[in-house]
Order: sequence, then C-alpha cells, then structure tokens
Amino acid sequence: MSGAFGSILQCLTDAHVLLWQEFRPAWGATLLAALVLPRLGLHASFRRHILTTIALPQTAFAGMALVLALPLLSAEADGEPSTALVFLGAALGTLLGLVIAAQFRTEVVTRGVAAMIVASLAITEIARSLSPFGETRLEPLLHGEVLGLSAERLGLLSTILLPGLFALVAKRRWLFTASCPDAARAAGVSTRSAAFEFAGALGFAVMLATLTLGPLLTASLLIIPAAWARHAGNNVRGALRESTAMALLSAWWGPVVSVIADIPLGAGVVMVALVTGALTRALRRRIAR
Amino acid sequence: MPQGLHVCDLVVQPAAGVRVGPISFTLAPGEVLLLQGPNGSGKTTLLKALAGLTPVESGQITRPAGSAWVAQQPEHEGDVPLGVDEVLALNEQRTGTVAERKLRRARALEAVLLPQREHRRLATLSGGEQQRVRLAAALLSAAPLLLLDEATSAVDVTSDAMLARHMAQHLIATGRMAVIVTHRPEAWSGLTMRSMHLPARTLEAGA
Repeated sequence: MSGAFGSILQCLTDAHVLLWQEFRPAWGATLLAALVLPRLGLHASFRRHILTTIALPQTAFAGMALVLALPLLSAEADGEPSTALVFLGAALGTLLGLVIAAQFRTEVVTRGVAAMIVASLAITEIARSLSPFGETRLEPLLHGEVLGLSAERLGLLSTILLPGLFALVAKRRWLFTASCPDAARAAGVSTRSAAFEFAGALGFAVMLATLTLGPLLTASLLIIPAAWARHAGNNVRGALRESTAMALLSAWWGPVVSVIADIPLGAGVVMVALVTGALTRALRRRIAR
Repeated sequence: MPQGLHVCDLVVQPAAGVRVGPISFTLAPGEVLLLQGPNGSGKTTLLKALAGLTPVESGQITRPAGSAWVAQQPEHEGDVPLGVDEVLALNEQRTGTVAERKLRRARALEAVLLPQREHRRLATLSGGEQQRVRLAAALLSAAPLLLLDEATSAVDVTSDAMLARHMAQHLIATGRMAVIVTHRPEAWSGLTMRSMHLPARTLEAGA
C-alpha cells in the first residue's frame, strides 16, 4: 500500500517538476483565471444567471470562430489569422451574448439561454467548416492555447484581475441589489447600474479567459466552484472564499493530473474540481452527523 | 432636502383597471402612520409608491432621500446564501469602527428579540425570525423613513406586541418616520400613532 502511495507521490512530483519547467505560463494563466472567475460565477448565481455564464464563453468562441471564417479579413500575409481580429470576434460574441441575455425575462431565461448556447455551438460548427484555417487553428482555441501561451497573451490575461478587483469593491452593492432589489431601490441604490457593472465585469473577464483558456475551461471555472460553494458556506463571505479556494486548488493540481493522465489541461482542472467538491461534501456530511 | 413626508393627491395605477387614490397626507419626523384595510385595497401599492418602487399616475410625493423597505416576502433573498450579519451589514450605516458596527448589529438583533443569531444563515431561521432580522436591518439603516409591509405577519402574537413597543421606542428616540401596513393593529394599540383605513379601491384618511 505504502509502495503504491509512494509511486503516486513520485509521479505527482515528477509531473510537477516537468510542468514547472515547461508550462509556467500555462499555470499562471489558470491560476489568474481561478482568482477571478469563481467570484463572478457566484455573483451570477445570486442573480439567477448561472446559465448565462455557460452561454457567454460559447458566444465569445462563436465570435472568434466566425471571424476565422472570413479569410480575406482574418488572414495576414503569412496566412495566420489576425490576433486583433480574433480578439474583436471574442469581444463582439461576448457583447452579443450579454445583450441577448439581458432581453430575457426571468421565467424564460432557461429556455432562452439554452437556445443561445445551441445557436452559438451551431455557428461555431458552421464557421469551423468554412474557415480556411480549418480545425488545426480552431481546436487549440476551443481547448485553450494554455500550453503554448505567449508572454504577451499572459500579459493580456492578467488584466482579468481588474474585474476581480472591481468585484471586491462592488461586492456590497451587487449583493444588496441581487438579494433585496426592492429594498436596495428604496434605499436609493440603482439596481440598473449594478446590473450593468456586473455584466461589464463578467463580459470582460469571460472574453479574456475564453481567448486564452478556451470556452470549456472558462465555463468550468465559472460554474463548478460557484455551484459547489453556494451551498457549502454559512454565508456569502464563506461561499466566496471557498469557491476561490476550490478553483485555485483545481488550477494548481489540474495541470499535474492532465500530464499524468495524458488528458487535455482543461479536463484535468475540471476533474480535480469535481473530485475536490465530492470529497469535501462527503466530509462535511460526515462531520455534520 | 425635505424633513417630512408630504403626499398630495396621489394616484397610483399598478395595473390596467386598478386605481388607488387620490390620497393626501403629511407625516412629520417621529410620526408613525398605521395603514389598514382589506386585501386588495391598495396598501402595498401605496407603500411601493412611497418607496419609489411603483410609478405614480398623478399627484406628488415629497420625501427625504432613501427609505428602509421591509416586505412581507422579499423578492430574491432565497437565492443568496446570506448570513444574518450580512443582511444587517448590507443595510447599516458604514460609520464607526468594525467593533462599533458589530455592537450596533448585536443591539439591533436584541431590539427585535433575536439575540445571538449573527452567525446563522438567514435561510435556516424560521419565517418569523427572518422577518425580525429584516426589521433589525431596517433599524440599522440611516434612512429617515421606514416602510413596513406586513413586516411582522409571521411573528407570533405575543412577540408582535413586544416588537411593536420596541419599534415605537426606537422611532421616537431617533425621530424617524414610519408607514406600517398591518392586519393586526391591536399589537400597536396603546402607542401614539396616526392611522389610515383603505377600503377596497377607495381611500379615506383619518386621524
């Protein structure tokens, strides 16, 4: 038993060393995103917009795929897609997703957002089949280009900390308008401004994360820690703390698991998040008894 | 900024064919108005108009900036895992040190007969206890006008009378105004306050 445990430990250490040497930017990117995305995901769940957080990375990616299907516009002299145009596609896709999501009334939001996800996936597939860059360019984008991350892209992603800091500053206002909108309005707090602020912060963070990590990992970091933590803590403060802790743990060990199990990095992060959530939940239940 | 609440020929139309008003009254600082009437008479509509939550059809409301609104059933609260201390913190004045604010919250909970519940999750409390927490939050706010819409409907009868006494003492001490909708006026009997009865769709004001 101890031999098997020792082998696993050795394997983990080797993977860590390998990753640390070769994939430091990738690690940095997932950790940066893990600092910000769960917090925004939790606030989205407070506003009953958890499905929107699944849809937004998809719409952002559909925008990216769509601009890659425009060969005359997106191809530079060397035949590579223009980074600026991919960025613009992600921005437009995110913005469109936010505008569409804002149109839904609460009772139709589930169907509406589900339709938006399906439409985004369909657009992505059509754009993929039309794109002159084919799947070779789109596949890494879909799963995130984390492993080949340039310093410039990491620098761009680091601005994801801005919406994270803004979320800290606006926490009280966001909570007040999300939990007691009538009381907030009566007290003179603008629920509309708070909704705009939140949508802006979420959109900016999702766009940057989708550009760097891809839509699957972005959606996972938004949803899994938030969905788990909102039932775990005794209060909002605890839920925010625990969702961030879970995401950081997943972002740290996810790349290690992906190397050991030879699976995509995003899948490794999601797997660690799910296992951590399940174990912690079981432990809590045991303690509660 | 006006000190009191002045309502002049107010008419509110919350839905097509439903009209509340016209109604006029004035409330000075420290005064409390008890609003009564059968279901559907427009008590909540009137209160929402006073809070600025419903557009006014005609007439005028002059009120001080900001009011503390306590509804019978809050709109979204269940989706947010709020702790009791967080509900209070959202509404409180952010003056003084952390320790002073903590003390004020503890005192507000004592005032609504709910001591030592700061660390509980709001959703784990009973309906009546949750209403008391919201009342404590309203007491902590800096708003000069309190609007309570059947805010003690889930509170037991004995506690309701005690709460009414505590609330009245607080309002007198702080010089704040309050408009209170209730179906249990007997809980507030013995306290000096004005009352208004709203029959279905027609409003009458009295002393």
